Amino acid sequence: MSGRRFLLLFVVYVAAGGFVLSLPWVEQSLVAPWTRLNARGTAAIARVLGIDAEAHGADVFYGWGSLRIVVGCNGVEALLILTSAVLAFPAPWRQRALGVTAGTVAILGVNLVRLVNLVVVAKVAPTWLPVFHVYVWQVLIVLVAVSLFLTWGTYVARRGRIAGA
Amino acid sequence: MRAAVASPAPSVVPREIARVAAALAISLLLLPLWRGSGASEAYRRGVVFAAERVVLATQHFPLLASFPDLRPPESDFVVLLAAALTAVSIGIGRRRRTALLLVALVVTASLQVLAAVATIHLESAREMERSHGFLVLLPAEFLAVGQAKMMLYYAQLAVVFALVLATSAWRFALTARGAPSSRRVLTAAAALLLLSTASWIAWGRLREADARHVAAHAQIGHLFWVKRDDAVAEEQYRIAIAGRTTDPEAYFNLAGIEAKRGRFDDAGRLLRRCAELGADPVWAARVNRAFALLPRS
Repeated sequence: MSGRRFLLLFVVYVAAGGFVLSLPWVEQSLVAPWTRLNARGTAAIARVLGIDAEAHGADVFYGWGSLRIVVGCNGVEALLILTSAVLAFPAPWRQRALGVTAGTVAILGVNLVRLVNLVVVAKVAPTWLPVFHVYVWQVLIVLVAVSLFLTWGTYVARRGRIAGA
Repeated sequence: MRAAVASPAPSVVPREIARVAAALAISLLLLPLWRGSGASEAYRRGVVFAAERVVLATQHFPLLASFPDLRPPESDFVVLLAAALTAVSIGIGRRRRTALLLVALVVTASLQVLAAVATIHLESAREMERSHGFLVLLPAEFLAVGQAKMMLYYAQLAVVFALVLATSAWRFALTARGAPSSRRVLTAAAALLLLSTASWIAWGRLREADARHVAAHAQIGHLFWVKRDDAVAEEQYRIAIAGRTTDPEAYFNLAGIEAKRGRFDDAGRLLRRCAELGADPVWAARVNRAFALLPRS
């Protein structure tokens, strides 16, 4: 049973990935642009929904209020976990690359939904923001990552595309 | 060679998504109870209490005592979700579910205590720099503790992910790649432990040779000197002097402590070193006055 091997590799990849992502150079050149992309996307979608929103760096301004997108809200955490799980799974590298690419796009999309939702909540019902921010979306984004992994894993397993020894 | 995989039925993924959605819904239903009953605050206090004990037992500078108002990163959602997930995972036995819940709670609480320890170190370092102008954490240490805090956050989310998989009906029944033997895992863990310990010792040596760190020992010595806590002040001054501090006050105050204990020769030696470092008229006058107070041997 390779459950233990999968878990070990998953832990190692999360730790290594988390370390790499928190390096100042990586943070500046990868995480910060990704966060700004999230902010721009959020402001654009919010405008479509009729909210006068504007992005400045990692900040999203709406009316008199603003939200700053920081680590934990930019989807990087879900992407790290999903990528670690995909890489730990014994599928051919092509399938893993497909999983990571599709996962990145999906997580970015879901994270935009999360951020737009937070902007709407912050504007309409600000007292609910902590609940949505911490208890709904932090959980939901991980659950989305799990669902994506299960979907991808099922696709790979059903076709017997598991890497050999 | 292809792996033997128990191919999941097509209905497995929707069922799993329904299961995690149900767990999220239950965790949200539990939230008012969790917060309203004071359990959330009690949990926070427990995390802070444990973090305080860890900090007090391991801190390098004797600065920190109690942090009742510390707000560690809000991640008690992991606790709620773990409870909800194990409640809805009726496909596995109650005993296994309870064991998984306990493991998840212990791991989560440990990660949260460590995150609180990192928060305490970062906040107190910022505060000392702001209020007293010296570095309790060197820039590299500040970066490392910040990184550790972020990794601990990622690790908590990874616990949620692993718990969802562990309680899932979806099985990785793979046989092509065997699990690593316990011996290999233990060897790797021992190597990692050895490497971490060696790095920690090496870093400790490097840190004690850094002028900014040595200056922090001297400054903390001053803080305790002002509070009339001679024992801690002496300890910090001795470390600073061993690190070749150029702060004349460290030598002067330690000379005062030595003189109080009747160790006049040591006091005189420290005053002479102080005179060398504090080469201005004010210091010269202070040192001369102190010399005059020492009994002539």
